[in-house]
Amino acid sequence: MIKKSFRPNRKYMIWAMITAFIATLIFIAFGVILESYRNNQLDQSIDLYGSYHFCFHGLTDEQIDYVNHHDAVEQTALVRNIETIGKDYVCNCMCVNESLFDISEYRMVEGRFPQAANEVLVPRWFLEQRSHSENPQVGDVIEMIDPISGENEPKVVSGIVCSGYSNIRLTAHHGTSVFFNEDTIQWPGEVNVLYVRLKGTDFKEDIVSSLVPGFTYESETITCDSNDEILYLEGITKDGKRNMLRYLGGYLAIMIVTVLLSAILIRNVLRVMMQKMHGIFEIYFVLGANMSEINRTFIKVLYTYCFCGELLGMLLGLTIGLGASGLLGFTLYVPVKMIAVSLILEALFFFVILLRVKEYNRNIRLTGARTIFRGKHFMFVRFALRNFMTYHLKKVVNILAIAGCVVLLFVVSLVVKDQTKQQDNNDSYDYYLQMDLYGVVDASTYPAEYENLLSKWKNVRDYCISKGHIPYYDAFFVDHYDITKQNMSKELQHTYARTAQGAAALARTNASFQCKLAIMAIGPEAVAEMGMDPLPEHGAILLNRITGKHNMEGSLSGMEGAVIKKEALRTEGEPDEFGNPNYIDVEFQICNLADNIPVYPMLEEDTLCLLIDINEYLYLYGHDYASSFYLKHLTEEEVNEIQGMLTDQTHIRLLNQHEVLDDITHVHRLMWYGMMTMFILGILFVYSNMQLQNIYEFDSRKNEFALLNAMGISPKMLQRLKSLETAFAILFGWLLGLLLCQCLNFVLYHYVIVEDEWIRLEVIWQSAVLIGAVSIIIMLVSAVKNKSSKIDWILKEL
Amino acid sequence: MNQNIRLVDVSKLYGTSGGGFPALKHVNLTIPKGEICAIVGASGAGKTTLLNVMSCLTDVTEGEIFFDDTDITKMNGKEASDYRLHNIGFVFQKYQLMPTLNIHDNICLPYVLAKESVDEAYVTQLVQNLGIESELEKMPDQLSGGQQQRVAIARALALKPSVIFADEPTGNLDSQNGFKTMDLLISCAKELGHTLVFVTHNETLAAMADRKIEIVDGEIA
Repeated sequence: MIKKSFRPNRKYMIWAMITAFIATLIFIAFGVILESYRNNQLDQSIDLYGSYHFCFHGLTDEQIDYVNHHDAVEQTALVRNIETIGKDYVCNCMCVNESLFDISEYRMVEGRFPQAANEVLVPRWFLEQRSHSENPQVGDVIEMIDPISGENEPKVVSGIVCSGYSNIRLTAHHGTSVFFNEDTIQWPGEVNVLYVRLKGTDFKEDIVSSLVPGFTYESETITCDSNDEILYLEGITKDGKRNMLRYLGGYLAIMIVTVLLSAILIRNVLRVMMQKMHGIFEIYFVLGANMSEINRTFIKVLYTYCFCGELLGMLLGLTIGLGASGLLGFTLYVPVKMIAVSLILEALFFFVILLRVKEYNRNIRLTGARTIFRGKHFMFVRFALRNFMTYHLKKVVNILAIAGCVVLLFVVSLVVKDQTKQQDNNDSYDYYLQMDLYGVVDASTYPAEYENLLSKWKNVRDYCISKGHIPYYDAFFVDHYDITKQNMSKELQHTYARTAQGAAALARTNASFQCKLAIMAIGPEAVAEMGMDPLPEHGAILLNRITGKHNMEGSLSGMEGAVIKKEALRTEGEPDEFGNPNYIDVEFQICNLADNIPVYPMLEEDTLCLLIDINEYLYLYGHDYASSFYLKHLTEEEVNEIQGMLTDQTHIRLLNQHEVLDDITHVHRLMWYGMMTMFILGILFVYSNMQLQNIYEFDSRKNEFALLNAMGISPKMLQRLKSLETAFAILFGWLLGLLLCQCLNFVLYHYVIVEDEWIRLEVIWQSAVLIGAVSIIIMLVSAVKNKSSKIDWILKEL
Repeated sequence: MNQNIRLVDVSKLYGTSGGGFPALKHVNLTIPKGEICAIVGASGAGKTTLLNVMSCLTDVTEGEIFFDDTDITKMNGKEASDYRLHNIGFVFQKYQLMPTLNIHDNICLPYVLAKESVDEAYVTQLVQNLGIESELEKMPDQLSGGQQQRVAIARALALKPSVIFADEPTGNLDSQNGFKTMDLLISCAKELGHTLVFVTHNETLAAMADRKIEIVDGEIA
């Protein structure tokens, strides 16, 4: 029956419910999108580098046994180096069991896996090298060291194996694997390497630490190999932890701000409700009701509404989050634990807010016929300001609400900015001929595959040149270079100062500044396109700008003719006694400065570029493989022709960059939609809060308004007075929001995102100006809504 | 003992120290059980304050108020609420019915607050006596002023309190309806043996009481 008494205020309860609903919706949708995004990166990493694995060296039988019986371990593979072969290119012949076949994704070309002790499975090149037959084939007998006896023994080749494509291949690319029948191998007391693949996706640091005492990623005493990318994404390495901190920080910031804002709104709803129900409570009081029980019932009812809002928000937030993640092309993930903890915290927070009901009740009793109208000279604005000081400054939360909106938008801007900061290619190229990383197809280990790949690459390149298309090479090596401060323009210095790290480096040095320098490869066709003479040996072009979107024309001065020395590059001459190439320092002379190059490949930000000839680059850096390259303007026929040359696209493929960019644009667009949604919700929040505040004040200050009215101030003027007071609240909230954003910005810049770009003040200003402008509009709408007839009604109530 | 309410040297001062306004000045009063008592006086004389202090709605500044030998001025908030719930029925000038409850629920509200089961037989008899038995399913805004006041009287009598306080119960009614309502209130109180203390400006209505207490400037004349 008591609950029925709350009926007239149901609209306020629904208001509270919607507030809880929207707050929950925002942070849950955001959490789901972030988690899906992170897991998507993780999936991509697993696809690219393989599942979780660790590679341990020099373990004992007991340790191997421990790993084999560990619950978290899915599979292990044992590898032992049995001989070193080759002179020009050192290669380890490794005895491995069948598990590695699966883990490393090897391919059986022909034959079968060894079934007897004298059988082996080898790569073709190994067979060709060892077989005495003119036509080496499966079934041949070769001489090789037996893993048990350690002596050279004849072995029958049971099959041919081909390399796989996984991260393990990368870690073991300096060797070739020869497979033996595991049943016939007796692993000696110590093995060289143990590969471990874990079940599920949870990292088990205890395995690593138990096998490698004192192991820690942070101290970088890594004595085992592992999938660094996954460890980074899982927040296990030092950088990964920082990344995870940013990820969690973004989520927490949005959650805290939305919950705080909603709590402020709910608090205001509560105040208005208590105001409206004052009469009812008084009747209960007079009748002898137990007021604490009435309060409890009131809290229960309101809390039920808030809780329902929270649950609905969770459901819709999940739906929206999953939907948006689906649209963004992410695999869907729900951060269950994070959501559960957030919901519990939110529910507790709402409960604490509602528990303050008694205080509001008491406050309401204290309001009453209070008037502040004592001025001898009536000045409207001054009077409104005085009212604001009296009523609003004491209730700082309402000002905080507006400030919170500015901060919320700022935080969302930061997260969106962080997630969409991928650099595009400035639309400077259309296609990308992508080659796999060096080591995947190693010339010495897999000569046939390598020759095949190189031939495809040459065919495509020659075809493109014959059609008049210039290949823009994507080969670069990032190093460091000291530029003098006097060579750096103010703009360039400012560019570096955008990061805390850059700013600190600039401040530390008086004479020179160490910046990143990419030695980039450029083809003679591209040099000609730039209208420059062909590059002489050790000649170079210095790209007179920093990569990124900012054209830093004139950022470097007096660099023409300068010499940049690079150490330990390969040069002509006799190899040393071990057959290694001759390494000496090479000096590049800057022949030209360039403001632009025809194609901007993806490079790290804040990096200067030194362009040298592609052939010299490949030779000096010892890259006896062909570089990936960019292309502009291919016709459909040409694309089809190239795709035909690449056949199965293994290790080399032609990518349409526009498709990639479309995806990026799509992601950016959705992110902006998200931001706009947040913006609209922010507007709704400010509007709701103002309306509630107005309702509350019209009610609680009716005696004061009546007095003013009696003294000759028309309802219309009272309306203007109230609007002016609201305007002051907006102004203060807005300024406070700006201040908070700037503080947050400072903290992020100096303590959290040290490697990221300095968050420009424009972002804050844009957020603040938008919120401020819209708040003013809302205030006007609100003023119109609180039309003078309403004030008339209030006055008649007296 | 036959006495019901006894005020001993009760004073009530409104406002803060130094400039307080005395609403009641050293009031001594005894109201025997079952007496129908009218409090009359000019506006601001202290009638409502007297009613409020007797019902523990307002603290006294000085003095003691005994209810069946229990000093109610010493009660804390919860005890005072309990005292009001079980011993006092209120009738207001503006009826003060819950707009969201129907007539039956409004009348039964004290049972809910006291966590007691509704005495349906008694309630039925009560509404019959007051002539509102056909209105039980209606909402307050569907009734006339006189009817609403009768509902308020029924609510005041629901838990069979020993005292009923009525603050200008006919103030919002026309004279005919006012007389009828007052007659009903008095007859109900007499029938059930309740003490009735009501405030009024109307001399005719005051004449219906067993005793008339006049208050002038916070003192009993």
